[in-house]
Amino acid sequence: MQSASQGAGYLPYLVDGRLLVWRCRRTGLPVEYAQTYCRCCDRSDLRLVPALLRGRITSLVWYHRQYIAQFPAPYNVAVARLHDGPEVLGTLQGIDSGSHPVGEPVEVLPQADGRLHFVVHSMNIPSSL
Amino acid sequence: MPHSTSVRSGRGAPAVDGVVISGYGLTPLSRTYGESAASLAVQAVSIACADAGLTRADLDGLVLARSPILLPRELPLDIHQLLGLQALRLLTAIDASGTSMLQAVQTAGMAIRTGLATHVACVFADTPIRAEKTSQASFSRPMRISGVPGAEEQVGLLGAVGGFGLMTRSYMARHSSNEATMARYSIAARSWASLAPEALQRSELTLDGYLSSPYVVDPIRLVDCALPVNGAFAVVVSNAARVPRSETCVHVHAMAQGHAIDIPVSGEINGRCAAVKALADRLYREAGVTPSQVESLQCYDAFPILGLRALEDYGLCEPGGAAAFVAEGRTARGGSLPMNSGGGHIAGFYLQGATPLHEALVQLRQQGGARQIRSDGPVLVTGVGSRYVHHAAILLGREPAPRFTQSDN
Repeated sequence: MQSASQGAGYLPYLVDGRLLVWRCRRTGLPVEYAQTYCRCCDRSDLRLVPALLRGRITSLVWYHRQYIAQFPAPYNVAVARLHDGPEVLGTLQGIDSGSHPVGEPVEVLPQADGRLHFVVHSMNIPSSL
Repeated sequence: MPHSTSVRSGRGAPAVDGVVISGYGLTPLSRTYGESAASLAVQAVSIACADAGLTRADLDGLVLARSPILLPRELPLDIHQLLGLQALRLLTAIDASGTSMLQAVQTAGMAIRTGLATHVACVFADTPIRAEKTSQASFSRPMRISGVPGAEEQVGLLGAVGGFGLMTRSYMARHSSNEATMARYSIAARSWASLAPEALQRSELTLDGYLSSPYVVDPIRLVDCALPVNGAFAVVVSNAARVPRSETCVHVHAMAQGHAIDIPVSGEINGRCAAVKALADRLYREAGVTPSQVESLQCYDAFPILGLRALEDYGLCEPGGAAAFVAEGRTARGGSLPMNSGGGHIAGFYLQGATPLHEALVQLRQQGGARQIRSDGPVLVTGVGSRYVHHAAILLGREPAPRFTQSDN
């Protein structure tokens, strides 16, 4: 099920700026990226469908230690649960260092390089993103 | 297998009949690089053999418990040549992340039960601190939790501290836990460590001291992180009927594994983790005990969230109640469930998964000195691998499990 493009993040799941998620053809339920079968019907009859790109933050951490030069601290790593799909990894944009708005509704903004940005849903989303 | 010990219960669970830990060995621990992992492993096995009253020539089994950050060639399978083991009937390596050490003991126990071997050495060795790199570099690899190759690198989710930080934050949000409550775990660990000569973080930790400790990855502070060390730990797992020093043997009452497939990316677990609950149910059933009979918990706690989850997922406190359980002093000296009485991984020393087993043996052999707790068992020892995916546990006691008799009556 995994793309041959190892290490490209969500890039193999981006089409025309939309994020694709796995869904069971039989039950219609979303399937996590890490799984190859539907946990409800135990079958692997899956298809990729565009996600609605809305969800809520389920966790967030702030790195205060720089491990590699590419990521100067502080920076955050967040997880969002899509309303119609799995949990995805990304970065929450536009918040102060140290805040951790778990539970906040967010918009998911796929980036051209395969990263996912999240913005709190009530914020104005710049059209350039 | 000795015929003197038989299963009385008709429950049909595969009892760990007549398997004991006859000796253990811990090398000196170091925060600077000195010896190779293989050299440390040889020392630990030699110490364990001597402790058991055996020689290395008595060993007919060797199980290597591999560290996830050590290259296989650094603890090679042919280390038996360095040890001069000429009569091996079992030689294998376990590569199961933080559960490797307990899985090694379980493998040894199974080999003994089937008659494949009589005395099996199980050894863990690690050298995260090198001349050419810091321990931070050793532990800064991306933690795979998303199921999407490369996603962790793209957002900078580096080191286990990030993955467990996410798990900690989601736990705090779900249970409305604040930092002052969560701090009690690491404070309690330091309190135990202050009584343990082997522990590396023995100074008292106050709440103010905790809150002034810098974040590594918020919500995890530096004082919440396991302290890497170079060192090795070994045990000899034996057939109880063939040990020269039965008085110092520790009995294996039960053992079990569980491997989760449903840990969310956030680590947000609703209630008890299903895989661990199933494991714990099997473990307690096999030993014929209930969670309330567990005398102490020695668990894998590279970060506080792992200790808190162990308390809940093994049924030792109410789901969501672990932080308060610790804050109330229930796991402290004199508490109802002493936990990680050597300081655990956080304040004691971080030999991944070997630390809890070492402390269980210290306690059950009444070698705890100032930190000795009443300890007849059962003592629950747990291991965790990857980001809460792999689990292994054993129950140990000073005497054979009560459900066994000395006859078939």
